[in-house]
Amino acid sequence: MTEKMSNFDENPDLEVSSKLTEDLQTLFKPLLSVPPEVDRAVQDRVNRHFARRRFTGARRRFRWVALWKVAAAAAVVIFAFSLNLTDTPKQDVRYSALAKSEAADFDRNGRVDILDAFKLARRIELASSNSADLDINGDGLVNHDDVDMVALAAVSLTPAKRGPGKGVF
Amino acid sequence: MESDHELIESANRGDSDAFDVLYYRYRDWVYRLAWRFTGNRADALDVLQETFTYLLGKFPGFELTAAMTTFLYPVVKHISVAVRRKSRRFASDDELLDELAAPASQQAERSRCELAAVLAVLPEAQRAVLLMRFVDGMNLLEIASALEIPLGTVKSRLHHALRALRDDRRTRDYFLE
Amino acid sequence: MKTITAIILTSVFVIVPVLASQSGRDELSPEPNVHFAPLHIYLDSGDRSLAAFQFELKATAGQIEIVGVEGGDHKVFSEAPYYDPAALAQDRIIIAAFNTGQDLPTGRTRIATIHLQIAGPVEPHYELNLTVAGDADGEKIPAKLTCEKGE
Repeated sequence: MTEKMSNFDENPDLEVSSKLTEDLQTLFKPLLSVPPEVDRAVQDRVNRHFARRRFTGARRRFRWVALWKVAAAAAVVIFAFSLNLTDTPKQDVRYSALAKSEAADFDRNGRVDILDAFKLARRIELASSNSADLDINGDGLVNHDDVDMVALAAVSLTPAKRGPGKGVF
Repeated sequence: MESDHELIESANRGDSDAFDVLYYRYRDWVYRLAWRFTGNRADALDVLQETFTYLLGKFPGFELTAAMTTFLYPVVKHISVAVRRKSRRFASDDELLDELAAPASQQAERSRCELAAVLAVLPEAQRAVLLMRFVDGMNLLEIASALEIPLGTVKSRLHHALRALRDDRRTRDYFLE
Repeated sequence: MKTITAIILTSVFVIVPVLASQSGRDELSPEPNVHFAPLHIYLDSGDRSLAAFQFELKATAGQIEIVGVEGGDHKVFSEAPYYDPAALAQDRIIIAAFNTGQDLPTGRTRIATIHLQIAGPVEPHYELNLTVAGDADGEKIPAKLTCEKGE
């Protein structure tokens, strides 16, 4: 190994001035501040998460409680575990609903899949139709946004009708 | 000041304040990295929230086996891809470099613009390692772990990136003789 | 008084086993070692051009979480495919992509890479379901879906 490479192995930044670091950080570390409402939203999530999980410390504590308090606590826990930790945006609800809708089933095979998005994309590209029934997202335009919506509905994790199973077709 | 491992142990035992400390410790780092990947503030804030939601879901039972930045880097990167796809906003690295804020003085502006221009033509793999080293403050082992590549590959990419900057007359002055 | 005592005793006999099983489960759960690994997905469409695909991946063993998705080798599928971001941090994902261009791949091609976070000692196993593969006319074509673990 040459002296140059051994120096490189130990400290590849050896010949670089601190100005490179400063300028790179100026370029890529803009003075962005996180809005307080984002901090609050994260903290709310944190508080909910830690409140509904049963963390056990080093010592166990047993309490004497009335039966009705046990039932009430159980109901709260069951309700809490039924909640999804991640907020479900309205968009996900729309994709799930679209996945079960005939409006996006362009090949009429009983399910919304990627071939429906493909067919819609083809029709739009060929400008063969811009009828209102192709305006999947309801924005008044027939364009690739509608195609994206069908594709995202196809991959939505909410169960939709499935085609044939695994492996070789 | 408590270490990350101490905070994680506390959070595993149910201490939400410990998680809060972790959040504020890495919030800005995650936000800036997300901004770099997504190219815009709104998507970066979405990535920030989803990253910490992802981390939160690991408690109790989370074990940190590397630096926190090493753990978070691929998470932020992949969530950024998903958020960009979902919001249908696609900012390439080249576009992002074009959007970087202009510094104050004219001389400083010119040198940083030239630096941005040279970076824009670097291969993406080399540019990523360079930025992880000089902007994210990660050491070579942490970069290798985060990218899941051999340490030698990290060294090689960094070496080629620095050599490209050194060989370019616009960025030669960043190097000591 | 007797009633209250009975209720309290009943509560204790309910709570104690629940708490015991909870703490027992926590104590027995090992803190997992975590590492990341890519899973490369290949589709072989034979001599037919591949213009669209959709498949589902589910982990059937092991402790995995999906942390990212990448596009494939061929340029028409090189961008990240469509998937539900809700799949991140879960063990099931549906992935799809299409291209209406002419320069389409044939034969065996890597269509996507899924990045996984794997915890614990159990070797993960996966179930792959090809929902549909389509040609340039949007017609279903037979194809074989496989996966390979990356490094």
